[in-house]
Amino acid sequence: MNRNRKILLGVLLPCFAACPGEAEQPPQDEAVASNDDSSPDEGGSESDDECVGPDGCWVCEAVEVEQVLNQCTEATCEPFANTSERLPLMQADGSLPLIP
Amino acid sequence: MTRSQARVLVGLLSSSVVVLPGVARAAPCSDLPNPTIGLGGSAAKPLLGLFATELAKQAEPVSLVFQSTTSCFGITAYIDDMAMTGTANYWDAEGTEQTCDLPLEGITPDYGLLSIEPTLCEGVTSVPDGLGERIGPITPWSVIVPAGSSQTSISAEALYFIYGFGASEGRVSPWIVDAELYSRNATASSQIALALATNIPLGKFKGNDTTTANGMVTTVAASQNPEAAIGFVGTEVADLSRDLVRTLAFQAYGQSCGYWPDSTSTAFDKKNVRDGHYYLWTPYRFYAPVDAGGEIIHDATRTAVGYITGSEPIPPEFPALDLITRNGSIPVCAMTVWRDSDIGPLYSLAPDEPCGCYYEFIATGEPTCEACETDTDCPAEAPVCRYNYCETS
Repeated sequence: MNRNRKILLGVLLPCFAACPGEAEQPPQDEAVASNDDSSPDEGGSESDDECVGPDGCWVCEAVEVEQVLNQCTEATCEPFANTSERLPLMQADGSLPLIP
Repeated sequence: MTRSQARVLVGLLSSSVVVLPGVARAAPCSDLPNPTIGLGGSAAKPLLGLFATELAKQAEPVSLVFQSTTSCFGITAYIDDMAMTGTANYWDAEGTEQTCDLPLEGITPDYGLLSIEPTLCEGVTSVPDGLGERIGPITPWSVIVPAGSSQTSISAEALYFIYGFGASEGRVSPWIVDAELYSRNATASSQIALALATNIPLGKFKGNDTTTANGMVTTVAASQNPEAAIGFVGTEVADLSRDLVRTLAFQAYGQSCGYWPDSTSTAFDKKNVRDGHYYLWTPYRFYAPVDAGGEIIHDATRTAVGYITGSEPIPPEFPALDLITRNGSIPVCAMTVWRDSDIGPLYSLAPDEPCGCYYEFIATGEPTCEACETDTDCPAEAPVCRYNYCETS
């Protein structure tokens, strides 16, 4: 996992705890608008601060798969909380045990 | 279920008309006008039905005949030299599904249809020489629950525990009842796709086999314990029964939120599939015998497969794009992401001739782009008039 992915996931993971249980729309219009002013280059090499929107969505050109999956959007989304309460078999570090 | 067990089951099912007493034999499939006879995954049946109906209306009609099995039989029939027997379905010009008989001695399929790469099927290491591949529209996959369930979202991690460990062992509430855990088998593209997306080894995938895509929907819908019931099926099939089953928002590994195939749980725009927010999709893949130049040899097959995949020139009056869209499938020209392997990493990709504006109009009934007759009607930011809507390129 490269540095961009680590930072992106670090920003995104708190959302699991913070996101409400109801369907929501990650705000994006403002973020996209501000990104338009930043004139991203084709390599998607903007600094991470510039590319992560208010709710952790990706406002720059998506290059990595996590960036594609987490692009800012007007679509409705519904988070699933990958917590130990919901997933009791998940290991303490968040990894998944091998299937027996 | 192993491939050999599944083959026996398919043979028994497809032969039922022949062996059941008191059931009249149907007309021979080979007597239909210009028949092309093939087999493959049951999730594709609605799409083939729409194309078959339109093909039957043509001045020179083609009879698109399909035996609904599971995806892997679309390639293993060729590899194992397994003749098609029993019955198959075709559609008349009014769109009515009909049944016809295959020869008792069996026939080699004119085409095989998979919704997954052939080499993901057990025992398949390559596509046999002499078969050509045609990539067709996109089919999304849905994780479904009964309409009476209160659940709305699920993650890849949760599915890993549910289908990898089994419902009771996986302990992901409320999906903790083994009897309510519904699956297919290792020859079904839906199960292969979900196993890939969740990193579950295919041989360790748990659940009760519902045999067909329609069987999945009816079984999940009929659950007496709707909160605990869960299954998966092609989204086109799920969308036909939204009053019975609901597609859950899916949150892939590394994704911060779960998304439906559509922009909302009630829309039909497949926006999240097309832009990469919805991870569960694969293209349809047709396989048919080709000549040395790579052209499909059988005329009717070349026409039918060519119209569905766009690999042959489509007459202007043939509504291929509309049929794909109305079915809930997605033409490649409406995608803005792609992947080089099934359920592999997504990347942004602009199609050569985008059709997203027209797709959205047909799918939703609402125009989302500027209408046009020629390029001169279009603004600079969307300068190309295609299918009467201004596209960006």
